[in-house]
Amino acid sequence: MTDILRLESVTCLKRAEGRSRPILRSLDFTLEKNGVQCVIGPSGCGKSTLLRCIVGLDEISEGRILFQGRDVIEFAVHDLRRRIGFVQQLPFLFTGTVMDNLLYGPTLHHRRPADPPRFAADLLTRAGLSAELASRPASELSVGQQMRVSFARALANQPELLLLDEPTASLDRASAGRIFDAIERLNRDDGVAMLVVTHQFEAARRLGGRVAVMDEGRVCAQGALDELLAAGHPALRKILAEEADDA
Amino acid sequence: MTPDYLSVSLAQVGVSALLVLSAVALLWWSRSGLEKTFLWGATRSFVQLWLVGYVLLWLFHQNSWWVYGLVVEFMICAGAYTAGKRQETFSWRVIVSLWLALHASILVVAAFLFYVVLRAHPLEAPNVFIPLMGMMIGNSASGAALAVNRLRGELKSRRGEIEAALALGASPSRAMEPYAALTLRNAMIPMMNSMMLMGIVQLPGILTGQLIAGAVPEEAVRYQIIVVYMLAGAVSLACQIAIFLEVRRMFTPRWALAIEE
Repeated sequence: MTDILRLESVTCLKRAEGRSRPILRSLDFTLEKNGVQCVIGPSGCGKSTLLRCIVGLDEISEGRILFQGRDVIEFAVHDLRRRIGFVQQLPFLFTGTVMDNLLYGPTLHHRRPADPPRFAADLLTRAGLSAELASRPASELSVGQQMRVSFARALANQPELLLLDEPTASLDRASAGRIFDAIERLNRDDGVAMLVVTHQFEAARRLGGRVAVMDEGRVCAQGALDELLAAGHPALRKILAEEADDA
Repeated sequence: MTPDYLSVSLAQVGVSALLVLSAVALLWWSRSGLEKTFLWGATRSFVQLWLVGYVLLWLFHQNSWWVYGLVVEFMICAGAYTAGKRQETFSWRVIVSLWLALHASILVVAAFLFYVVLRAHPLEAPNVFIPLMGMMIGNSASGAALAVNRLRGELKSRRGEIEAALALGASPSRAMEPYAALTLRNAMIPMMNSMMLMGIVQLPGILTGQLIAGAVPEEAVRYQIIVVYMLAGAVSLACQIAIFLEVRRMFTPRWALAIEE
């Protein structure tokens, strides 16, 4: 088994204003062990929902999701969510200090470190932050810092797979670079597989250039980003059109 | 010397209606547009209270668990429905949660009150049982509804933080812990403020009623204190249970939020 993650004909319906509509439609996807894969697609195609379904924050109505070769429903929820880390698009930090945030996950899973300050310092350094931030109230940090603390908080559980939803969307170039460095190190040194949702071509190139292209709830292509762009893939042209509208 | 009970006749009630008419006149003079509604409200309160008087007279002579049980059940259903209707979004599930919370809290507090504190059998003291049950149910329904409303508000505004906690492996109750605590605090504030001001700003209802009925002030005050403590216990228990049931209802068995965004 070389896949850490496999989605088979996954459909996810969401209720809004009393009606159900499909966000993911019979979606198939695989991620190799130790792999780093970007998921790219136009707004509203279901990229975030894909990540949320994997970690169980949205429930699927059809199909199955396999993690480490086992159906996710066979895992106890708390165990699954320790082993699959999820970094949300916005950094929803908890009230308290940065240290409180970093220790939240390990405390939940009875894996509180013997030396919390050292543990926090190590996590912050890996996320490209100063260890001195550990004692600061989380609310006093900049958005970029909060985003990196959110990343470090997910790492605190020592996951085998890390899902990142637009991790650099609200960051400046330098901060985004530090996140990319952290992702590369984590994958290279700890063998953590990554699935990164992004709408930024630059981010996808920075993370190796291999992408799964989503559109209308399905993965419609996988391969090298620049090759797909050169071939004029429709979903990628939609992203370019959205960027032109935003500019 | 304790004053005697001051009886009032229907004619005297009629004279008191002049106060309502003067209020209506003032509303008319100030062009508020409320005269008809005010008059309708005063008429309804007269008719409803008059009927309640006859109902209570009949009730107090029944001496039957079935009758009193049905009355209490009716009050609980009405309390749960009325409180549930006041939620931002109408939901029968919320009404059921409130109904369950009221049953649990009222039964516990009422049993303690009558069999431990007052040491009076409800069938032998229906004039105490029915009014106190009504007070407990009304206050508990309001408190629990406030708690549920606030909890749903916290869920809406803190959805991101709650899902961040879930994503790290927290159970629903753990993820909701800070917000459930905040909800309970806010739901209990009106009760706590009322206790702080008890007897300072105005004399509370039970005390007033007992004094008018000619009771010795010392004894009337004891009754009032018992009622205040009864309400504190019932409201806090109803709020806790309602919060617990709502938190369970808000999540799926696999710890995902079941409430639409």
